[in-house]
Amino acid sequence: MSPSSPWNSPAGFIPVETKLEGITVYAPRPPEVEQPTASTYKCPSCGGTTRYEVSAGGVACEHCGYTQPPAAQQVGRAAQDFEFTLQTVAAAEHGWGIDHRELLCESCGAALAIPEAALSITCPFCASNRVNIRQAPADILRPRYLIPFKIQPTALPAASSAWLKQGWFHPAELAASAILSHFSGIYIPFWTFDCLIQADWKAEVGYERTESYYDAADKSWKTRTRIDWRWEDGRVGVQTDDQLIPGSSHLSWKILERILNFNLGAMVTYSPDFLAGWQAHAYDIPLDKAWDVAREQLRLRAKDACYKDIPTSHVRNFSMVADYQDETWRFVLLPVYLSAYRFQEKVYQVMVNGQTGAIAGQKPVAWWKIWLAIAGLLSPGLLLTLIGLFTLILGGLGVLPLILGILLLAGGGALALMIYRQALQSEAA
Amino acid sequence: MSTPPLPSVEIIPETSQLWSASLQPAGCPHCGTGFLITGDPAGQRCPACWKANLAPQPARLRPEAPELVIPFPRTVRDFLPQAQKFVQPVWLRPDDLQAERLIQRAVPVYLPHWLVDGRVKGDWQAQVGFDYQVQSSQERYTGSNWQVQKTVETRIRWEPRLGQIERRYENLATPASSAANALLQRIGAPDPRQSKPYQPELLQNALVRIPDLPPDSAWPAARARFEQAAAESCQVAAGGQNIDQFRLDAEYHALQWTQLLQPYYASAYRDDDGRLQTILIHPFSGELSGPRLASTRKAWVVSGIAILIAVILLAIGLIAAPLSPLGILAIIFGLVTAVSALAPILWAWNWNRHQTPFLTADQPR
Repeated sequence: MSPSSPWNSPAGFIPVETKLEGITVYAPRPPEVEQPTASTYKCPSCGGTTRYEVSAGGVACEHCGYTQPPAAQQVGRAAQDFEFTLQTVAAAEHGWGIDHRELLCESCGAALAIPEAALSITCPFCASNRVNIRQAPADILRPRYLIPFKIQPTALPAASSAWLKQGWFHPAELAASAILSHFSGIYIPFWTFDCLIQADWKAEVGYERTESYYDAADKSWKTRTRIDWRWEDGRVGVQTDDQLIPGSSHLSWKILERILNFNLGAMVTYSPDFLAGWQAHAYDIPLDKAWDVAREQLRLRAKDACYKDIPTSHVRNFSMVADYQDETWRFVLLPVYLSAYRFQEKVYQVMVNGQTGAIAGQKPVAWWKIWLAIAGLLSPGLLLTLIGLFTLILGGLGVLPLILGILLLAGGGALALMIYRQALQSEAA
Repeated sequence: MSTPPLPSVEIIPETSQLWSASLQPAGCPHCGTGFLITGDPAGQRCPACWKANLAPQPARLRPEAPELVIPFPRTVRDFLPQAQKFVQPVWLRPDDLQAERLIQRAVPVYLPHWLVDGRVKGDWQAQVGFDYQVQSSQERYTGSNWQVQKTVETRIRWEPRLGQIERRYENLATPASSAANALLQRIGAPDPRQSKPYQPELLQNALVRIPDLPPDSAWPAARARFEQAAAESCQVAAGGQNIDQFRLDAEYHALQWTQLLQPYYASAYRDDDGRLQTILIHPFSGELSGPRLASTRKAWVVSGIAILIAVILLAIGLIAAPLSPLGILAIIFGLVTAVSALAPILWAWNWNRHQTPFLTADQPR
């Protein structure tokens, strides 16, 4: 039996499968998802190759000056986020697959091998720009948002030159001989995570108490500090918005984390126009692995928040339970310039935030400067300590210089350690 | 949407043969509740209000016999242990509140329901909920170690759905008595799976409440049952696990009204004031429900005796030997007894405060 009278479904609804005879079911028409296709960027005016120009804020032709703004809208932090459904997490594990690794250039017919992680390519034969967002296992796993490049490539040599000159413990000839001329603009895949952590803590908390006591040996009254321990508990809420975790394992996280001052308020909806003439990578760190990394950072934040909730610094037998709620994620592309330079037969990496211009990278260290500085910091303390010891042995007033020497040695040692670590970090990739 | 054609009731005169059985219509002169009764109604107390005897009177009802009857599965005597359990917590109970008497006084009664068949044809719309699962985490930190526990939560995604429906539904039970709502809270909704086709023998010695909600009065409730059944069907058709904000714009065709009789036992006991308090007995579980009033009269008597004892003890203590150890002991016991004398009255007052009288729509309040 089925409804016999003619019935016009309301606008925006389409018939869907019914699981019961005699009942028809209509559901809202799903939004049309444009299947990703390879786009070739050619100027409609002169036929030349077009690319996304930062200065023009759109796809431009360098030959005839044709400009077209990208079909995108700014969404900022209001960009749609997604839940950790079991279906999505499972789909994300498959990554983007390895199909469609070869493209035929529509301009010259050359067969182009696309690196597995690349989403865009420039034909080396005819310089055509192509953007190829490959089929992801789930639609939501394709990039939906990105931040466009704002820093013009022409500004990078001067900025990098200034950066190379910074710092005193690098070789003097570094700024003069290292050449940072070629920067590759790449959209790096990132996962962003939001969540609320409800952390319940329990610990023995110590409260200081000053008490007077009679010192029988000294035959006098003295004061001393005692700590009274008692069990306490509490609850802390930690809200996290847009925790950024890179989706690419091919980049140095140590360098990348120093330029992560992205303004996500400038996020726009994805359009292949932004990728024309620029490189873009797909993720190779799946969603659940990235979320594991994010949680490693978040749990420490939650632990710090719990400690801040405790009114004293005396804490022992601390335990906590962090309950994650309202976890959501996004997959976005963020602009980064990559470059490298050679100095004394070694290669050093440099990264520039394509939106804010923050720059970070490896810089060689003139280790003789470091050792000299460490020696300079340690020697006064060491000298004074030796003098104090010497005079103490001889029966002079050596206690005061000894104490001063030890204090100077400790202070100098701390500063020396800090400089040493900075130097190590400067060379680390 | 108009009301579909509904069957009408007929006036059945006194001393008529009904439903192939020697059933006679009778009514309660006090509460007006009508019953069909086998044999002579004289001497039969009204099991609805227990305030008057039933008397023969004409009745307005459908002449057809019921389609289904849920038989009494056990005799009321089987429920004596349940009655004892029901009575036992009442410390100072009225003389009449005894398990044996409740069982003796119990009357088997059938509560009528309309069974409606019909075809629903129209448009529907609703929010259909689809279950989905999300992954979440809980992390425990103890002794400098982190333990991660992954959890899975089920959430509901609500989506609009609409369409057309043309389905036939059968045996949708809807109350035919205005007392049904109050009674069903105690004995539960009828389960047609426990029913049998009507046979006159099934009504032997039982009273049948005459429907006081004819089809035209019962139609709003019946329509709600159709809508409920349609909502469940539409949820299944849409493949969802939940449904909300269901709206049905439909016409109802080929309606057929028959009856289902649901059994229960009605009993009563006299309270302090001589009023009969109604107690219901579930025909399947034997569970008794109704107000269990404590006897305030007995409470006053017990308290009075205690006060008398207290006065005697105090008198002995004060007059006979006020300074002797025996006198002091008598005063102390006297005071304790005097204070304790309040307990029976307070207990009875507090106990009765929590008892809800059993009222049905047809009982005068």
